[in-house]
Amino acid sequence: MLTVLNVLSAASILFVVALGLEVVLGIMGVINMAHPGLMAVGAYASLEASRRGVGTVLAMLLGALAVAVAGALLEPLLRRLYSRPLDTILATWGLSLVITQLIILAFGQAPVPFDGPGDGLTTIAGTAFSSYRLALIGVAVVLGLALQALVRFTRAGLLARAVMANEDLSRSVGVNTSRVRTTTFALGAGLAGLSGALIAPLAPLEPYLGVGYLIPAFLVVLLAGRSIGGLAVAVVVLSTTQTLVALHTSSIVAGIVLVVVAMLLLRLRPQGLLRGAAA
Amino acid sequence: MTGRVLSGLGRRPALTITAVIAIVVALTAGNGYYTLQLLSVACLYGVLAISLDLCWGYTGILSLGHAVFFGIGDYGVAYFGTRIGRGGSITPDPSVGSMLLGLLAGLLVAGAVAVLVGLLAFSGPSSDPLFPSVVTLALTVIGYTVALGMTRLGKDSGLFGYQLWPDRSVAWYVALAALLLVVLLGARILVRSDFGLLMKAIRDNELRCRFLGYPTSRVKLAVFVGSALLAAFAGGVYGAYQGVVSPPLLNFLFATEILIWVAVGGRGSLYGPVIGAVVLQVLGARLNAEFPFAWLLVLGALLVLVVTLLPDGLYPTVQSLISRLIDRRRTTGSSPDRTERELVEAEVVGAGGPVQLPGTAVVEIADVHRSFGALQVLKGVDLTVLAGEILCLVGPNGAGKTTLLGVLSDGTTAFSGQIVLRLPQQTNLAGQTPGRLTRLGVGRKFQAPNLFDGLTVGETMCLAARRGRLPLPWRRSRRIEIGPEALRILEASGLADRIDVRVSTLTHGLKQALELAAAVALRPRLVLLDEPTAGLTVEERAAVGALLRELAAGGMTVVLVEHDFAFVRGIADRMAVLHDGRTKVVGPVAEVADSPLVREIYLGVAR
Amino acid sequence: MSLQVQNLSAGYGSAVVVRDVSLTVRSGECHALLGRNGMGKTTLVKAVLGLLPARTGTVSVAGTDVTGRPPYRIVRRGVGYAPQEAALFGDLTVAENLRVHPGGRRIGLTDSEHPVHWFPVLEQRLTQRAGTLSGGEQKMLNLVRALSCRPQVLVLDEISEGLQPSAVDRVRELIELERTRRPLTVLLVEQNLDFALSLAGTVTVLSAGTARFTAGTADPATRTRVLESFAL
Repeated sequence: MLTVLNVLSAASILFVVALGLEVVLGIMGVINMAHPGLMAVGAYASLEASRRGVGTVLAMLLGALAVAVAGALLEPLLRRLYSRPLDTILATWGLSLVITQLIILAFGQAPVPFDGPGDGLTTIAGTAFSSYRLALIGVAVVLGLALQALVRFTRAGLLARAVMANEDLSRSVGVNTSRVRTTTFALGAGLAGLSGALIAPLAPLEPYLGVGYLIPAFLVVLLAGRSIGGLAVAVVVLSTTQTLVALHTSSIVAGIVLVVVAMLLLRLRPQGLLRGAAA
Repeated sequence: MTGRVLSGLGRRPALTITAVIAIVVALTAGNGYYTLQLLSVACLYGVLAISLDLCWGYTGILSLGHAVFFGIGDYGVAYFGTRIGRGGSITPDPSVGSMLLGLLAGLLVAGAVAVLVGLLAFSGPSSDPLFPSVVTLALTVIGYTVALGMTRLGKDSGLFGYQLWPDRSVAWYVALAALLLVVLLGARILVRSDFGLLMKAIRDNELRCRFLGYPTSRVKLAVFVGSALLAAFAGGVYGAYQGVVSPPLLNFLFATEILIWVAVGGRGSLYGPVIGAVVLQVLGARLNAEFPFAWLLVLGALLVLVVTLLPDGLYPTVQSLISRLIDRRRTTGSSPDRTERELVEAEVVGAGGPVQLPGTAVVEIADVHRSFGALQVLKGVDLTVLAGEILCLVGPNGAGKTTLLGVLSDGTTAFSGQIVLRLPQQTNLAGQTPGRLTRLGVGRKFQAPNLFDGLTVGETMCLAARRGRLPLPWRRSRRIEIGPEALRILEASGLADRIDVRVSTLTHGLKQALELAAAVALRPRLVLLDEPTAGLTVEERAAVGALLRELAAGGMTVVLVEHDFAFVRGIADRMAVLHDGRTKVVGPVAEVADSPLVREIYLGVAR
Repeated sequence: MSLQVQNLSAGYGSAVVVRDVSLTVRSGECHALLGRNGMGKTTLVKAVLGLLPARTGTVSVAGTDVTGRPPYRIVRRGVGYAPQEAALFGDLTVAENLRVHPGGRRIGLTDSEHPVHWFPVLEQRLTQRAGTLSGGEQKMLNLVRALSCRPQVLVLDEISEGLQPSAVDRVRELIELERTRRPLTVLLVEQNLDFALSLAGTVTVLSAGTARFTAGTADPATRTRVLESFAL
């Protein structure tokens, strides 16, 4: 039971972190290496808000909002890079560095704990487990469903899907594709900030908190193809692999195995786990 | 040999050597131990920067974690330069022998890791640029965790105190500066050789390289592993010099710094990254002490700005500004430091073997089907191409003309039916890679000009004329041997006078001509041309028509896709009409062009 | 709403495909642009709509110069465009394809005047993914989508291509019906001569990127001139 909960907890955290990347990479086809920096901003912003007496949930939402706004402002500047994918990787990576250094200048490099919500245990089927982590599993499910609903049932989601399916035709039909891109990027950034804020109570905050998640998140997004359902499947598969391997060997080996397994899966199914085999 | 070495130094070797020695010596005078040490380390960072530039700047492989190889080299030397005592304590125990052993170990491990990463990242049909970036970044995380966790490697404090000859700082400095110069020289010879051309071509347009017959995945693997070995070597020497290593050396922050040296200095220029590494290292040491986090902030901002606004980096930008100010006679578009290449006609180049008799079948296409997912494009094409003829494929959009050419130039595409080539040996098309087809004698010109922007006309022809044979890393051919037809095309179009002109600056008509020349450079038996007159003026079309007639007269079989009927009537022997994925009519041009079926297909007009 | 093109040149990359083309379509008229494939018709249309930059020349819609404006602004003035290739959102359903047009003038699917009612086969497939439709059905969807925003200018690029003669007739009838409902300016790009001549009042023949001649279809000599210029 504990293993199952551990897997679900790890999967839900990875899911939440990867959602923002999925939105930006899946819809816009942009590789956003600034993701870890944006996560850190969300985490520290919500920390700051809660220090000033704002309730935890509201603080997290404010943190996410701050990052979304930053994303909306940044996207037009990044636009000229879209035709050069390698340079997009580099520039956004540099951006991540700039962001984390700014955080260090503001908050210092020493880990800062986010007290409060992280404590507390609940007992399920005889096993004691962190209440917060359990709540996170719920949050991940809700977020995933909400995003699916947004994409499937709203006009904004329709426009985003139209741009993803055929950008030229969207333009010919009267859709302001620049605005769709900026909004999508802002959403992705906001999700990055939210995920940073959500994982903040789990461990003391430090400026590079997002970097450790970057690689698993990217691998999972590549495996997911362009579907949120695919993302859910991918996180469960990879988290299960990692947890089981870590149980029997060590976390280092688990990390290596994770990368190798993910790469092999990608070779076999370049379109994503749900879509199908290599053409 | 000496000649080649000297030419690697540029136009005035004596002057360059004197200047370099002067700078090296001048820096030693009056500088304390600290500055000498800074400069020595900077030299090693210069070597590291060169390794990344070769990998990324010249071949287009973005390695986000190159620091790992540097770190492996250092850890290798550290491992053999220290001794583990009873109770787990680690004491330094350096000697020349142990250093060499450590260096070897580091090279072996780095090489093995690079091979594994390369096989994961570069094999497979389409090399996604994200792959190597993510994998190398993952390497830094893994490497960092491994180093952090191993007791024998000193865990989080790392290993220290194992430096060799700590009291000979001036001697070390001179030796390291010499090492940097030797590496720089070697790298320069490499990038200016024909192999260097191939590296740049892969960076600019890997798919086209494959169609020229080159095994690009293998080349990328070789460059990546070589670059990793060079980085590991630099790391090992660094270990022998500094005697210190700890996990952060493997981490992404250091790896990002290396990227910044190369990006800011100027990717693909060798000198830029070296200058970038040295200057940023020296500056960084000063500023980092006073404002530790601000320096990284500045570096990060620099990276973003340079990549977004000045992608070439500072050195090439400054260089072109200076050359524009100083040398006004330099023609626009010609690249600096290019020694003249000559185009030479060669009789021997060719697929070899007897020429086919005119009228015999060269390609037999029987009942070919090809689908893209659910969409069926070719639904049963039957066609025979005769030796020495000019056959024109016409038909409405979506009829499958380009798809058919695509199948003929790449036998690994999925199709059903039979295609037999007789060039003149009988070969089944199915399964033949573009490279093998090129060697069998099939040339292809793509629909839109699809060349290498960073190369000159001469360099493109040099690559095209090699039939996919890998060039040696030091040979720089001055004579480019191509078939008489290609030479004719280059002379007729005026490209022969523009051998040193960059492809990116050519007009559209000249690019089409270069494409044509590259397609026939190897004297193929069968030439496949997709819309050779697209975008050309009337005069240019007439010129292309004349060239094609000459090619056919010389024995080449030409299959072309065209829409310009006036052009087709002037040069083609036979015409094949494709409609809705099938061959509808095949026959002499005049007959087919006037047939009522063609009218109906094109105009919807019944007669 | 009139459409006026003057001295327009455009192309892809280094190639100039359309050279110095001028044509005028007065409000309510139907003008056909003829020529074989590869002669620049689609390039011209894309440049008119702002999907390709105009290297020289101007484009005016209803008297206003729209050269260089982003396509979505030009189209929102009331242009319905049915492109020749990549003409639908394959991953979206048929109904969703018809809803992408920005609101305002868009006809609701339940409205009896919605052009989808003209093709029952589409009505039956509203929830089906558009990418799974047959080639002919996709063309019909393309036309219906272009008409679903009550356009004042209709631009159709090879709408008859690949359609059975009966379907071509239906398309013609629908266009004529729409022209009775409101003043509709139509720019028809075609290879199918008879279809074009049956709808258009004026034709312009494009060859190798330049306009060869323009003539009225009322004149019986026009058809012969067009056939000759095709030089088949």
